[in-house]
Amino acid sequence: MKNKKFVILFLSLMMVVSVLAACSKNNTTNTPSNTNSNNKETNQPTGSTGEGTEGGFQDYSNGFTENVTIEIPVYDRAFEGWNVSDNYYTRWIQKEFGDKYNVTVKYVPISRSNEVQDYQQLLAAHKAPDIIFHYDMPQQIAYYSEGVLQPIEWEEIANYAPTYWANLGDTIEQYGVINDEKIYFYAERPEADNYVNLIRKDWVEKVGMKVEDLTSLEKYNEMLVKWKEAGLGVLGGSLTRNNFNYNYAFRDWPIDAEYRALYSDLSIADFTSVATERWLKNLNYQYNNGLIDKEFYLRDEESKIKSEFVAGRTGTFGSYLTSNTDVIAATLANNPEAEFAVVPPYAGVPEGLKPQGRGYWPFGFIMGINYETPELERIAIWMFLEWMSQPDNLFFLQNGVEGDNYTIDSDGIAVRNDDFAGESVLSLNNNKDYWALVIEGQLYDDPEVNRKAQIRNWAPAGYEYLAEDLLKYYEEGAEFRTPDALFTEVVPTVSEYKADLNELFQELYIKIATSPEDQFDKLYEEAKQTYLDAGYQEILDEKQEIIDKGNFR
Amino acid sequence: MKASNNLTTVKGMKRYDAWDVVINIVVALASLACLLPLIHILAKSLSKDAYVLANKVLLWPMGFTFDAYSKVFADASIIRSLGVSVFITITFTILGLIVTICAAYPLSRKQLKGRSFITFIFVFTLIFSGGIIPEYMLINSLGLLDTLWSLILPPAFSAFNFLIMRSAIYSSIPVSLEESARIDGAGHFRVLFNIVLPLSKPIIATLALFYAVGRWNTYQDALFYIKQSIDLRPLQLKLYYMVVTASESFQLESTNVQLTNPDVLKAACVIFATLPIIIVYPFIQKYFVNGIMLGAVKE
Amino acid sequence: MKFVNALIKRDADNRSFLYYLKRDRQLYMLLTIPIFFVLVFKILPMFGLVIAFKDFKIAKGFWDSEWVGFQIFQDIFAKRDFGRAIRNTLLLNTLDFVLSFTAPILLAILLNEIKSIRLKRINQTLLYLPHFLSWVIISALAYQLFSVGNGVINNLIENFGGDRIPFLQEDNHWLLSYLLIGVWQSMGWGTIIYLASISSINPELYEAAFVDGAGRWRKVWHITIPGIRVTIVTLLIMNLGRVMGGNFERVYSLANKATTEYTTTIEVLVYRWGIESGQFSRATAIGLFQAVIGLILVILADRIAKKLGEDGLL
Repeated sequence: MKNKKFVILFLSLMMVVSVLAACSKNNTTNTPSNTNSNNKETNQPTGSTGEGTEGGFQDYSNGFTENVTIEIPVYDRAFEGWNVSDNYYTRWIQKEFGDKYNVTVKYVPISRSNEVQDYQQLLAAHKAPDIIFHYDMPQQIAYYSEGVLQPIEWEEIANYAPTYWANLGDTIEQYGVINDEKIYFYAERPEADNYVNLIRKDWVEKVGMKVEDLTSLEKYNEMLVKWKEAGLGVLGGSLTRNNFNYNYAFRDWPIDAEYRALYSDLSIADFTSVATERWLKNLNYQYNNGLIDKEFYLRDEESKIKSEFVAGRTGTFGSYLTSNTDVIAATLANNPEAEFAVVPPYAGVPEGLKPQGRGYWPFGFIMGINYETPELERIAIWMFLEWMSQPDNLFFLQNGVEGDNYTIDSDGIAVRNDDFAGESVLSLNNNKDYWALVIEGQLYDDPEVNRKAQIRNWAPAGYEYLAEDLLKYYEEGAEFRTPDALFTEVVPTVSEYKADLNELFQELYIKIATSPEDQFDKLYEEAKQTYLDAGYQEILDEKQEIIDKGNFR
Repeated sequence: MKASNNLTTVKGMKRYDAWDVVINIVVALASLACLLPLIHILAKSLSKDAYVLANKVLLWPMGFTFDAYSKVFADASIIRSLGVSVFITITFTILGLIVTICAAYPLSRKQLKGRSFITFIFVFTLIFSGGIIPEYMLINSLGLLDTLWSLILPPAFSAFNFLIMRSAIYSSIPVSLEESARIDGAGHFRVLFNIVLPLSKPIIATLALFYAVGRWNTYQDALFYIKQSIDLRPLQLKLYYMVVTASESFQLESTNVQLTNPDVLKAACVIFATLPIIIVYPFIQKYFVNGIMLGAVKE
Repeated sequence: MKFVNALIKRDADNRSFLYYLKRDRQLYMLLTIPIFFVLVFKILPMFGLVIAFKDFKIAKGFWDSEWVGFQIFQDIFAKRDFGRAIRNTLLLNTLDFVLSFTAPILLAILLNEIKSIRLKRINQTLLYLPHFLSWVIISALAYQLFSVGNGVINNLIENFGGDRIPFLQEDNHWLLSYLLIGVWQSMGWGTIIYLASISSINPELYEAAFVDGAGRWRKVWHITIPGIRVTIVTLLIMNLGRVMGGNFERVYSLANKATTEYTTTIEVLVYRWGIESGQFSRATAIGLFQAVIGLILVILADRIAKKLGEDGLL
């Protein structure tokens, strides 16, 4: 008798507790989840509507009658001494934009290193900002599948943010649709890429070659053989992980759009394609002949790859070139006779193929509007983007106060005054996290001026030629750069299998690359089958269906 | 009576034999294996970036420099973070001990009704957990976000520590002692304060150490709960952010981000983490002395 | 059901509930504090466990997400890596348990035997230093020392004419290294609990044994070890509750992509399927699975301990 009582006591305790928990949660979840299902309908503002009728939008150019609060996310990189949600620039934004339109601009810090988790916690607690941003499409698709993004109206954006729309309207129309819903809007990305492959020029010349001679993969490998014989060092290697354009140099040209859509992916490696086979065979050859870092698979972070180059064990190193990079100084400290050059684009390309590259999409941030954001706040956001797209405002945010933070030099470029430590001091990355909502980098109208500015930003002192070469090769390779394909439908099998397939890819390719050359064909065939069975076949099938429907860009 | 270790003879003379040598050597080797990596890290933290990058530093700094430390201290808010960490560590330790003792003592009394049941619930919560999102939502509903209490209250009760303390009370406090006190009319509170606590000094010291070290080094919860009030960031969180910032590679940034080699920073972080404990531990060690308490009470 | 009954039976008696409440009211008062903390901070968030049975969408929240019953569990069990992960988890944890559980006990006993107090203290302090290193740092150190290409140890071995050993780059070697590094990292810290326990042993027992002519090891066997028996049993049972768990950071940091036989464990899957992909239902489901197994084991171990005459946990 007593036993049963105790059991019932325990169970009822658990139930009471869960009910209590449910109640307290329901108070906060009830209202939003009700409006959530309504949101999608009431998004069309009643009365003034976004049906494209002219004059259908309310005019708020004199401000909102009642104060509207918008919550803007901003990356928190924990820069020393910088309060990311309250500083000179947030106050300036409030003064110049917020006060003018009767809007309160609140900044919500999102930790850069943990952003998805941050967003998820905030969303679960219904405290997420009005904009949900991310740099990668797959994650944004995941957000969409979670139901946290609301559909938007392009006419609404065009109405309240004409300048912004003029800059990005095409991009939004091209890329912003998923499952037939208009969800995403973007920030601009200037056409620039400062990724560079550095090579030890002194090593190249020591074996009697010149950097300009490296016009094909075959010649490159010859040089590596010479390096090995001279006891200089090997090619820098690294773990190919979360990188899905590793085999572009081995693809046929020109590219068929459907082939591209099927095999190029942002989350899954195309292990079974011919290009991968060629790439892998080359890697296998380099490995077995001691031409590449034997422990390349241990180099899974940039610092480890850098370490080998700095120590003088490897002769190449790829990374983003910035004016304050430490790789040059560090390499010189350990190898005083080192000289540097940029690897020409054809060096990694087998004879007859082209140096294909991944064309970045014309956008930086991919953004969506929080499903809980009401209409007025959404409109305020468009107006905010419009305000930030004005060149004067943008320039101020990017550079600060003229005379204090910077001076304009004879080329028309803003030269940063590094010693300035006054009130309007910029954040450590030039406030990028604030203006990245409209553009990804600094852009001068005049292309010449822009080029000069880029070289200034990218090249360490005394090594301007590296940036020059980088730009020259970039322009040369322009015709061979193609952007990734984007599906306008969610591809469920990709999200289902991508984590596992990526692990499998790494396991398989390393195993094959490090096996003896005569076993390559057999091992690769087996591995292809394993990969297909593990879910890749399903993905290909599903993607093919979508392609046949034509739902891709 | 000498209360140090069990081989002391009544006469106070120590005898050494071959085993002593062996034991000392074995333990010394183990200690060395534990010390050397720390020395390596210390050396790295005092070395020039370029050599650390090239992995050349072993046990002695190369290109001796205090750069990493000066970068850490250049940020004035580090001192504040230090203060925050000290505060929450001390508060947390005291609170944790109180809560643990309040659980361990009653549940060590065999005559308590519902003893197994309550223990079961505690152990249950050790094994099952709701997950980070529900925990975040809870802290949010309680209004504890961006306050130091979010770092002090939730982890205060540790079932693990509770079990250890309970088993220590079992084994170190004979029932006879308690019974004679009860016969003399002492209530449970009296027994707790006058008998159990004094006799449990070693275990209390141990748990104090566990609580303190745990709180000092953990930053994962602060990562989620302390967002807007950057003044309240504990030390380890600040250091973690510094390492992360140093490890980023910037694309298209027209930056003036001062990149410090993350490895050197990481090394400095470790030194920061271990120093306080090295300072505090010797004070705790004096409680690990054999039987001194038992003897004293008997008198 | 039976189990809970057994729990209650243990405490069952014929007197009324109120009598006990009155008699031990001071104890119950003390208990309210920890019970409060547990209720609020540990039991309340457990509502989150419910998403193991739901298709969790953040927008719908915990309550409105669609109920799917055991579907998620079925999906997980069917995945090819799951079986391998279970094998690896059990393998790593069991072996780890054998080594990492016994090492601190042995070390504590040895430390206790050291006569010089000062040496004792210095050693203690040094031994627990590895506890403060994060696994990321430890793995960087490990590879710096043990990697085949350029590791310090291997360089030394080669200098002395030996062959390089793939400590971390061959499956079985990796397993051994993983275990030994784990011992190194945790042994010093584990000794603290045992040392505290040992210091509670009545010194009169030692004196009596000495008078009886017992040698050093006799004393250890008959006094020291029994003296810490309760602690050992408690920790043992608690560790059994974690046999399906494990330390994600430890495996993930020490693993490398060429040596993958033993490196997929359940914790790794929680990270890969749950946290990395933002699928909380999955992560919670796996966590639930681990916890249920752990609980069953704890209860079983507790029963066995009781049968052997120990006090057990519960």
